[in-house]
Amino acid sequence: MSEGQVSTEELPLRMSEGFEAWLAAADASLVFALPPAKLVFVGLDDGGGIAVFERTFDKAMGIAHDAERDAIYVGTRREIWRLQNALAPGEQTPGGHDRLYVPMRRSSTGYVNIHDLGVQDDGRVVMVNTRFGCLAEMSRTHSFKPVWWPPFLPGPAPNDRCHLNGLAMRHGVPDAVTTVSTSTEVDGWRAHRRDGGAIIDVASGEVICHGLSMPHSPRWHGDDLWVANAGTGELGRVDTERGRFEPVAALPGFARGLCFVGDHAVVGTSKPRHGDIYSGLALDDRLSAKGWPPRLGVFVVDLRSGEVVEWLQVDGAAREIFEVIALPGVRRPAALGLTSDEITTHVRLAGAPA
Amino acid sequence: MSDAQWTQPVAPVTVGPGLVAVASLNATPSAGFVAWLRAAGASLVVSTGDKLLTIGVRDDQIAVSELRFDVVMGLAVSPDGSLLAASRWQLHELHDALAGSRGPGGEDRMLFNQVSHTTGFVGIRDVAVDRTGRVLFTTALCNGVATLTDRGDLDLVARPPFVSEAVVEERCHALGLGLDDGELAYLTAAAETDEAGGWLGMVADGGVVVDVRADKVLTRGLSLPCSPRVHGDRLYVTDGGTGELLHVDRGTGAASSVVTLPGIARGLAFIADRAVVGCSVPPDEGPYAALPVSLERPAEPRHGIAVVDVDAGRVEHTLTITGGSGEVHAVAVVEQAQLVGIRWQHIDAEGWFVLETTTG
Repeated sequence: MSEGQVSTEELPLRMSEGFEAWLAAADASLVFALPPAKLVFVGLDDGGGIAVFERTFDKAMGIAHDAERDAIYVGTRREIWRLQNALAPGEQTPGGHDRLYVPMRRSSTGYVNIHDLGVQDDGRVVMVNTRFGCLAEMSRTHSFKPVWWPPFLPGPAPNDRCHLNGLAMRHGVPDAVTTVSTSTEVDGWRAHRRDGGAIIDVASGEVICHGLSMPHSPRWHGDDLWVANAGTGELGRVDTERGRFEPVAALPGFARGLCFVGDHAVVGTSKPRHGDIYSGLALDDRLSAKGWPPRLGVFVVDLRSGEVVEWLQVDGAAREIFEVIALPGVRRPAALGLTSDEITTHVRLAGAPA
Repeated sequence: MSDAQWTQPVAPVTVGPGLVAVASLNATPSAGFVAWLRAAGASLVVSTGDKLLTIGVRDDQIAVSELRFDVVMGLAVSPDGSLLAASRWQLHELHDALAGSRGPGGEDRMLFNQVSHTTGFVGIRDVAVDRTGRVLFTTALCNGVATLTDRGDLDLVARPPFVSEAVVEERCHALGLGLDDGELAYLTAAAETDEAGGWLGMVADGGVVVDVRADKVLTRGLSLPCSPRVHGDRLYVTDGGTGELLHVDRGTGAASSVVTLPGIARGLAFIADRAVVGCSVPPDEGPYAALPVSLERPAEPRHGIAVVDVDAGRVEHTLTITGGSGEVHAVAVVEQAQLVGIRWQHIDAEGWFVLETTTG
């Protein structure tokens, strides 16, 4: 397979031959979070070549798009940022970007280990607060507002018992979550990484699928609930009737971060490292049996065949990708950063000449 | 309705006593200052250079808490007790986390920097919360008083009658805003001009007070007028460049001096019948070097705040700030709180969380 080099010094990327054409046909851009520091936007330039844009956020993890208001939420180490598109429909920046996401609001949460984010039908954000083992909303006056927690836990407390990490939204409300275990011991999830993982239905509080290995990123797509069974490196459907996980695709890394574009899934993969929480899992066995090194990137899976059809790989020192989202109808997004003068000189005055 | 609960983490709590003797500056009260503040039952908030200070009383001593920004200018305490503070490109909301309980250092309020709105560097020198709860602020860059839209854009709600358009271009250098019964009533600007950069050569005596509701200039000939405040039906304005606290007749616009301070007078708030006025040492360079108080420097220019008896026209108490401090930009009052802690939560207080719980 020939590869396109799109490297920058900080973010060396390689991609499959057809990645750009796929992105063009998908009529979408991708945004992924690369902790500890980067939020990466992937689009196409006027010539159809890949256009990568990255910004620095401290431990960017969960990302969610409020399509109605065209705002992106990013969960970071201690806060949630709202990035609002500042361009009018059809407007472009001088650099040819068709979206300009500006960090317009910072909300403190404290260090709660924010994982997935979701946007509810009324626009309110719900976060997976992994440290406290709950779903929570942002609060203007408080650190956060717990709204739900697994029934086997006594309540929100800062001791990460079960490693609640993923959130599937459906019809604008939280529908299902993933946990690495159903442990009620403080930090107890670490002992259950191989097969203690569960999917819990939010409305009933019932475990609807168990025996998973560090499941992440549950997502509804059409009438199917999908999940990344990270510890085996598999993407699959959940048979919610029988409570079974049905693998569809095998990926070359710790599968986490998932979105859908048409009949394709886009899955993030991270590199396990000997001795860390991603290692010692079935994924390690499968990759070493085939002699494959784990890879960091996003992989495009054809949902009908289960085949990986395209990929974008991140080389260099980065080890983890947390989340990937698609921005439908967006060709080449950009964002302002927090560390340059741009954020100080960006002034939008209603009614003023541009 | 919500209440607050403190949640203590399993990790060792890294938060020390909430209030510290500030090492980066010295705050020296005059003999009666602490007794006055204690009797008033309030605390002060002061923005000075890159520091936001709260000034209160603990064990009959002055107690200062400090929070750093790149620069901090306009301030307001909202009717709900939250503190609004403008830094270089953000407007921050600091909310009380204690809900009536006591903080780890004996605080009766603990303000966390909870939400920050991006404004861009628009020069926010004065902030107020109107009767409807809308946050209003002056923007020097946009020549008037603005608020934030849901999307985060600036919406100019008032500008002086002599500024012909809503524009991102500094013309008159809007400085202060004042409410009357919770409604925007006055704004001040450094110059009566509609030209880009026009204010720069006019700071010595080009300043105006604008009656927003009448859409007319009320008072002319001022020098860097700041902080218009209606107190007891009377309008007071600090005339920064002369160091004076002025009383302005709301009908005729006639200004009369209440008291003169040894420096640039800027920042004004009232506790009962006393005015608390900020005072800064005049600069030797920059546009403010042309101010009267810079050209004819007081014998002993001071940096700090003065407590003024406006009826008697005299300074009663002072707090002198020395070392590691910039200009005093604004002053605000936290009522019924003697010890107010302030925290930039994600740096200082990661060991503490306040959970919002719905109680009905």
